[in-house]
Amino acid sequence: MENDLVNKKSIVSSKNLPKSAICLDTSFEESNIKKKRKKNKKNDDENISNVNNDNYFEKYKHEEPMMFDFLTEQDYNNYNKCELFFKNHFENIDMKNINEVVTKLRNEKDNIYLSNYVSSSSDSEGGDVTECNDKRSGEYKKNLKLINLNRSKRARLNVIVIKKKYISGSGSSSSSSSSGAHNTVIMTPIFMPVGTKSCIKGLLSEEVENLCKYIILSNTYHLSNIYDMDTFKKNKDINNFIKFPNSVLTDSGGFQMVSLSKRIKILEEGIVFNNIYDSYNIKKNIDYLMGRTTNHDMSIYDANPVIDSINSNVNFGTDTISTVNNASTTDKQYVSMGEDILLSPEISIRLQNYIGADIIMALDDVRSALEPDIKKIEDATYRTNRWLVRCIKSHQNKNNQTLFGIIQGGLNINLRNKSMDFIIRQKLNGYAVGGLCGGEKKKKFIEIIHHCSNEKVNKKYNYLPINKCRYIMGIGYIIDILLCSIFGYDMFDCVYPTRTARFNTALSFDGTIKLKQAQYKYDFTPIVKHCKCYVCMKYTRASIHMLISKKNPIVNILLTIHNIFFILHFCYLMRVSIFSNKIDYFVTTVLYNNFVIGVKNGNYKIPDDDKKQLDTSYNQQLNGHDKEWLDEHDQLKINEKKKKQNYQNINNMTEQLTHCIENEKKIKELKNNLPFWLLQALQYANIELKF
Amino acid sequence: MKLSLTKVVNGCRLGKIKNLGKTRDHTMDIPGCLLYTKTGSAPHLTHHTLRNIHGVPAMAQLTLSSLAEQHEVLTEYKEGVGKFIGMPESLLYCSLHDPVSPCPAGYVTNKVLQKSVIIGVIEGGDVMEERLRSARETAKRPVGGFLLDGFQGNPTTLETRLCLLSSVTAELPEDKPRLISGIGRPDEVLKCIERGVDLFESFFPYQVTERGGALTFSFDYQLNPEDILLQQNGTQEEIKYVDQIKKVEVTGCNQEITSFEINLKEKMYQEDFNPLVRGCSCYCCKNHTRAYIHHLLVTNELLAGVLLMMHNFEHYFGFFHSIREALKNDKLAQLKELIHRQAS
Repeated sequence: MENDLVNKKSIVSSKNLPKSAICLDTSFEESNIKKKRKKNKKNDDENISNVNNDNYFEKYKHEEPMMFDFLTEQDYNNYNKCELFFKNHFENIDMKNINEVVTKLRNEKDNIYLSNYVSSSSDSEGGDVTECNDKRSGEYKKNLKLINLNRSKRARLNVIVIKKKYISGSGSSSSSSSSGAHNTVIMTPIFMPVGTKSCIKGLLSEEVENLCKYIILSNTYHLSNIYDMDTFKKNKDINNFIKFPNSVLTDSGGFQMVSLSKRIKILEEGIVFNNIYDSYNIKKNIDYLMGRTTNHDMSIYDANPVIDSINSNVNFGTDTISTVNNASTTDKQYVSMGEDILLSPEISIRLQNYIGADIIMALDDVRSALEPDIKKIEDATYRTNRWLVRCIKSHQNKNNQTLFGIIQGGLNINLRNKSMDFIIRQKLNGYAVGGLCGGEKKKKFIEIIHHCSNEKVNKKYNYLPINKCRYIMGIGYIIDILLCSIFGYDMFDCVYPTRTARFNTALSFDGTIKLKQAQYKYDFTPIVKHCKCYVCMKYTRASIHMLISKKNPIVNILLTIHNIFFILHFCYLMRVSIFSNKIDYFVTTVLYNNFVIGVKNGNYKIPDDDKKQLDTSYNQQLNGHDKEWLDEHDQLKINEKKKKQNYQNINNMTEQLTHCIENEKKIKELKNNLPFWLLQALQYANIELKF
Repeated sequence: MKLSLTKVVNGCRLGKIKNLGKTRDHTMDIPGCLLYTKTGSAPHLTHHTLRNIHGVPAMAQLTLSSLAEQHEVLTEYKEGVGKFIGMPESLLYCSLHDPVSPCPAGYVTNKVLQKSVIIGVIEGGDVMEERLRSARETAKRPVGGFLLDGFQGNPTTLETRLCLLSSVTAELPEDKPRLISGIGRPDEVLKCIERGVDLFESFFPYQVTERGGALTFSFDYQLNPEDILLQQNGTQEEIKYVDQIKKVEVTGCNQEITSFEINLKEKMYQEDFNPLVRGCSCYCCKNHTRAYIHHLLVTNELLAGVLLMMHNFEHYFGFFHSIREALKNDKLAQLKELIHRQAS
């Protein structure tokens, strides 16, 4: 038996795994080993003496991602203190008095946290249609308030205080530490994990509570198909239903226009879904909410898909345009299967009122970012505006639910401006940018997000207000979160971290780790070094790899836990960096980890790598600022040489210097690797690459 | 490893296995079962979640067939399989094959328990002479206990196999624990206990979970029959339904639904807001309803497996606890009668 052990070991080393073997699945490897075992039995003794795995490990030696060393313990402590400060001061106050508290804290001399204070949401403006502040009593009437805190370049650190709905103690088992608190205090930028059908796939409510200290997201369309609205009514709201003590946001169902695009028709009245579910629940819900007993005979839409807008005679502020176009069907093939269900702005909002999340979204007309027909996008943009007015009108729970408007306009700056001009005038408490991240070119994406938050250059109503929540929908990649944050956005959501977990992929600092690959079979390190999540503390890459190869369903859950923890921790690190004014270092480190180390390790693939595409006609196609960057590269080279010569003799400075040179080298390397769109983004965001 | 019997009633052995594990400070109650794992991790459950289940056995079962492929990895790791799979403090029992996936007969030859106690395997198929010979020969050797292998199979031949079992256990020394593989149904478990078997596997609740079922059989022998009917709450109807649908397509294992469980994929549970089992103390029953589990199953949510696994494990472990209590209080006959009534 023992001989056998050694034998196998020797095979591994003698195999000297060729590169192509990395991706082969294990079963193949197995059979290979078996074949070799026969051969090896003959020259057993020779092999045993040569047991040496160095070769094996060298092949797969990964460069470790850089740590965030620039953040000192002091930085963490200061940030944690700050977070605690806001928790202590805002968690237990009555939302009504929040303005008072803010004013009081501002006037306190030794308060360092609100010195950068710009203004908080609804200081000067109303919100929705009703006034937020009762002028006489000074009471704050809404359930959400944003307080600006710090800025580091364009990145912002904000506090969002949301009134809690969770009635603690109602559940017997969960006695969370946050019980008794009145408000959830959210520090942004923050990623919101998605639990489409009210639960994050595979996690128990305790696990969700432990992982997500701030806010999670759910979806109206799915919820109202699955649940009877009575369920929410009986439990008061979704927070209590899923026993989640922190905040919940529900999306309106507009996104399903893209995700289920083959099954919808767009009418002025609303969206007609060819339902993917059994329509029993949603029909019941709609009847119940709209107080009617209509027949759901959607055949009128089928027979006569071109119906006039019911609102064509209503004045929509500045945007009363004649393109109240008649219902347009999507140009994709309309697959007819299930029953047709109409989701109008009114129905969506009323459903969300019943579901009872803390933040609700207006129904928008989302078009694919790749939609080539500008006319269609224009129509959709104006329709979104008209729908928003209807959403605001039908919102019946203004004191306990905050309605966010959604900016549309595709990839067209002009349309985005028009959309913002209309929607921001509605004076909502938060705004989302929708319709992005649908496969558009990164360059376009950067232009739009840069533009929508460009408060210094754009005129009023052409950028998202500073004192309101800024939310970009559908952002989930680490790099995208980073970019949006440095442009001053606060909230992001995407199914990516949880979905990718179910495809055996873990997030890490240098890209994604596909744990199914054979290279992890002998990797006894945790998924992410120093990660404090339960999975990284307990398991190694090798054991996860084994569980994957054995198809234990536990892997999905473990990786979901890791990925959510990781992405939230990433946001935490980013907040600490913003708080300590070290966002430049943070961006540089993250980019270096992904675009240099990640690419080298094969864990990161540069999206839209325009540099490679242009490789041949490299120099000719450079535009102005790109050249600037390149000039800088050359400058760096010269500097490096000079410095090398100058300081060669000074011994005591050598160490520091080599460090310096090392860093400059790294920055050069990084700049070489970064695609143009990203360099452009850094310039827009005024970020300087440095270690 | 030391077995101390406190009571033997009609061949049923009640007691404790002491001095288990590397530190020799673990004990296990018998009759009992092992924790079924798939490559070292209980299916669907993280170690965290596992802690939410009451009465988890101290010993987990690993399957050698799954570990064999990982042999080199484990050798390389050097720190033992326990730490590798993230349960360094747990007791591990390494069995040769997975009870859930069918294995060829005669596959078994030898068995090693990692660094620790070796359990002798008794083989011999359905041939009485072979079985007896195997039992006698194994008993002569310095083994820590015995594994009774190959007793699973077609229910129609159950009686013959039980006969074999009694004869085999009679040949074995009293002071060593006997494990049986492949037996999981509550009624069969009781029959084996009567024939002197001490330890079982807990693959049965996993199989039930995988086919979207929840164990609902009652094992509270102290209740009077009417209360039992109330407690079961719908199980009787379920039996009728089982008759109608003999076989259900299930992932992984083509097992028939037993009368000890309910199939939550059935539409009738869509609006059933009762817990899986009334009065059950498991996490799932305390927090969720049958309707919710039904919804999770229908929408293919991962959480369905997690919650069902939690309930089914806790229910099954509770059943073994109940067996020990019944033995202690001389009530095994009542329990047997109760289980028998529920076996269709």
